[in-house]
Amino acid sequence: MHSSEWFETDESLLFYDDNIILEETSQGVWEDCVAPSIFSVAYFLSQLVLVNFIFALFVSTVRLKKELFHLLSGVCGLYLIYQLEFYEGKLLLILVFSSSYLVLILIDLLQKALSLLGKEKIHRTSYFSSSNIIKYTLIVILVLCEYFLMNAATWLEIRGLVMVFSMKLISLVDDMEKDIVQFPSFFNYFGYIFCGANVIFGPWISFDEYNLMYDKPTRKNFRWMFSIVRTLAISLFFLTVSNCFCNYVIDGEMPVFLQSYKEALSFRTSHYFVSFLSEVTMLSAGYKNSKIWNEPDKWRYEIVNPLKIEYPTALATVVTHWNKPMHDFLKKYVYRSWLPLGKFYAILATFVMSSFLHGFELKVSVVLITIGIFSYLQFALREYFAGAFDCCMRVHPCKGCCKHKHKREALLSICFRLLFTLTNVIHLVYLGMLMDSSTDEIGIINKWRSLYFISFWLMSINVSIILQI
Amino acid sequence: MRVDIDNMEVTVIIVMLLSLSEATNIGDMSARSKNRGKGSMWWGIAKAGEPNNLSPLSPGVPYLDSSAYYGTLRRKQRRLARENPGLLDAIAKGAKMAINECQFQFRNQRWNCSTRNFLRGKNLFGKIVDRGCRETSFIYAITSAAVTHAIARACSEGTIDTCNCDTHYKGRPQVFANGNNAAAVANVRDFEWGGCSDNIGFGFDVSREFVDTGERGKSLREKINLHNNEAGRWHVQSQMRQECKCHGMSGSCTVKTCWMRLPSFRVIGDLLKDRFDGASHVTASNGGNGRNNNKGHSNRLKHPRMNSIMSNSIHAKRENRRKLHKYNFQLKPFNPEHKPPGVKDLVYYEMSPGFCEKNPKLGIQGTHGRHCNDTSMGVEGCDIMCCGRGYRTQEIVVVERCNCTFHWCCEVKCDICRTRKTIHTCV
Repeated sequence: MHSSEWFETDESLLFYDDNIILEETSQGVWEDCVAPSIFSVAYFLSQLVLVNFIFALFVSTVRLKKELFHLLSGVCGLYLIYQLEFYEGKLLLILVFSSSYLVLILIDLLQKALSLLGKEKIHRTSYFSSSNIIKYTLIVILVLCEYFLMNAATWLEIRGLVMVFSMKLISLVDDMEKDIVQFPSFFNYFGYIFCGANVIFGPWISFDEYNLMYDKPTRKNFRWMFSIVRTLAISLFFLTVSNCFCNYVIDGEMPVFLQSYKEALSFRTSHYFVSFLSEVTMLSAGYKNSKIWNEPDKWRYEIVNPLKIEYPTALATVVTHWNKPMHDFLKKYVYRSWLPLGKFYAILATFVMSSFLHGFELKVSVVLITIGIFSYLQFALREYFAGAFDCCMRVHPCKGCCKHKHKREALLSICFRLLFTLTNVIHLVYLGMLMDSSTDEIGIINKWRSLYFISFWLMSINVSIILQI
Repeated sequence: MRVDIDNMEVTVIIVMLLSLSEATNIGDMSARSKNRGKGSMWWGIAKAGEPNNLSPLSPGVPYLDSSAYYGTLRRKQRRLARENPGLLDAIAKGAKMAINECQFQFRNQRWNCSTRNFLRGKNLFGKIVDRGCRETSFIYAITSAAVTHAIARACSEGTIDTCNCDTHYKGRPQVFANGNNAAAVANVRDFEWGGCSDNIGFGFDVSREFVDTGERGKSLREKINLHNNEAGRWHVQSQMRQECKCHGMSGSCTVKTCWMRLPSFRVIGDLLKDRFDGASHVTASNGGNGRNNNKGHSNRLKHPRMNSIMSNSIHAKRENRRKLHKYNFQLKPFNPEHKPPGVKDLVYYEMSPGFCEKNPKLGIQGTHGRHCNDTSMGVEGCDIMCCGRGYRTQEIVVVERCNCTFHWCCEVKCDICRTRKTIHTCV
């Protein structure tokens, strides 16, 4: 049946054949999805990059007055907020953000009054410390917005911005309380809150880090521009994966686990898109990781590490690498303040705080708190196994010389770690699929039922091992 | 993956057939000034200006030599083409797509949608379009559907300057005709959330303007053509969905990206083929019944459109206001007990001629020399296809791709196989 003597005469046929393959598969995805997806954000992204780029160039070439610098930074952010495609909520954002300076003053006055009354400075762990007041007020406001004050669509649009704002405010008040920073001038505060580099997509940066740009502007060079383009490309790549290729590779007729995997993957890649985009805005405004601040050749502002999440060796690493600035924020301002009560409570409090920052939206909170508990349990199980099998397989490799019988590279350790990675993939699917918008119609329980509550079974095995043996 | 390969065999053969049939058509481009009255002359642009009819328009050449097209176009069509650079390429692509799909859908029928007799001054599909039979209704519907589809797709690709993901089509398409990318991008602001959702609206409107332009008269024939054109468009419209996705911190919705999902044209071909099988036989309405039926028709017109654009209420409002009463007529079923045809139904008023024997008067080729399936009892079976004349059996060798494997990422590698096949041809 197969031979080659007819080959030469029929090359024309093969040519047409090629065209047909091309037309029926990938081309449609490009034309119908990739191009329109990129098109529909292209204008906003270009504004985002350009505004910050111009800001960075301006700051590094002209030595501005302090007030002018902060004003410029804030105006960039205001302009970008104005560029957002919201119908409502924009004005509200601007009003709330600006008037929060009054709150700052009020709190300061309150502290002074209280300390006069009590004749001593309020201790920062007390309930009436300004950081606690601001935290709980913000939580109440966020939850009220989520459930009562605003309509769901509008709130969803502005929630990201409000979260970044809340984190900035909490960290600022906390830092002031610890006397790390002085009470900011209005311009300084305005520039920090509306900073064009992070007002839209985050990331959270500390007040000090923001001011570092004025005190010591980064040196801009060719690598800087290259890094912007590269990060933007990565970001858009993840956008197309999230919007298009997920659907294209896993179509509607495949088994339910793959469907769930698709939903989770689509959510994760959407998050990578946003995270890399926020890295783009930070880079184009001239910010970079403080570790490499003085190295003009290195340009990164690491927010997410997709590799660590797509190949999840431990749930704890997923949590850490999901959004590093936010992780740092939670660690510094929540975890540490709860640590005296014990590690488990501190972790739980962190995740609860994180879900409060999300307005305590049901699905987000369920995901966050579940992943918090799971990562703790997994951490404990791995500690236990490491002892029981005398095998180096903790979440974090042993510091220095490993004293276990089986080293990190031993077969036993590798097998165990692979096993954990596999279960983590399942956990991520199980939790990530809730973030898909279809959850609002189908319901969390129904979605989990379709996967037979697999993660809970896995975790109950986990718990029973810890408890019984 | 599997499915594609199964199809490939079929496509190889079709491609062979096509290349044979179309080789005869090259050069049939001249003098068609007679017969201007027919609104379907534009079909000819499927064949215009291309030495090789099979390859899709190459992206490197944005505008083909348009003078080749113009011979087949009416004044209004030419104006549309002038005002919307790139439109004509999309329409030509659509016309080609329509022919391919029609021939695919009818590959196993006695009438195989052949375009062989594309002779001077005659229609692309031959004289069959002069009659008002089922086959004609399918031709009208599929060509109009294909044009809508192709324009909508071209919009999302950005090859029609006056319509892309950024701009609304507001009945004055020449506004952004400069084709400057920066200007187009700047107009994102005019577009409320919706990304490329309106492309189908543009496709729909332009297809209406362009395709229906010849069917102005009041005769039943023209009404039927309009109805079938409209039916084709509705099928495209109702299959198209807009999908949006939010992006932002932890599931919030800071930016929203939208894209459209236009089904592959095969889906629409299948739907229209179903309608072809159940097409309604209509007759000239006599006076009185136009009144009560008008209502029914406009209702029907309203609903499918609204459903399909439900996702964006702004559009729905706009569409309703604009185009509800353009085609305000109702066709009457031949059998009074049947329901009047709906907006997606195909209609005809003449019985189909026999397609068995060659009939030069109607431009019918007959089924002589057609392939058939000796084991099938259906229409593609040799008994029916050859109209009882009997068939010849012979063995041929087909060269095709086989053992295709997907290599990461993203190419498909295949072996080349030579398969011996038994084919049957009608005498």
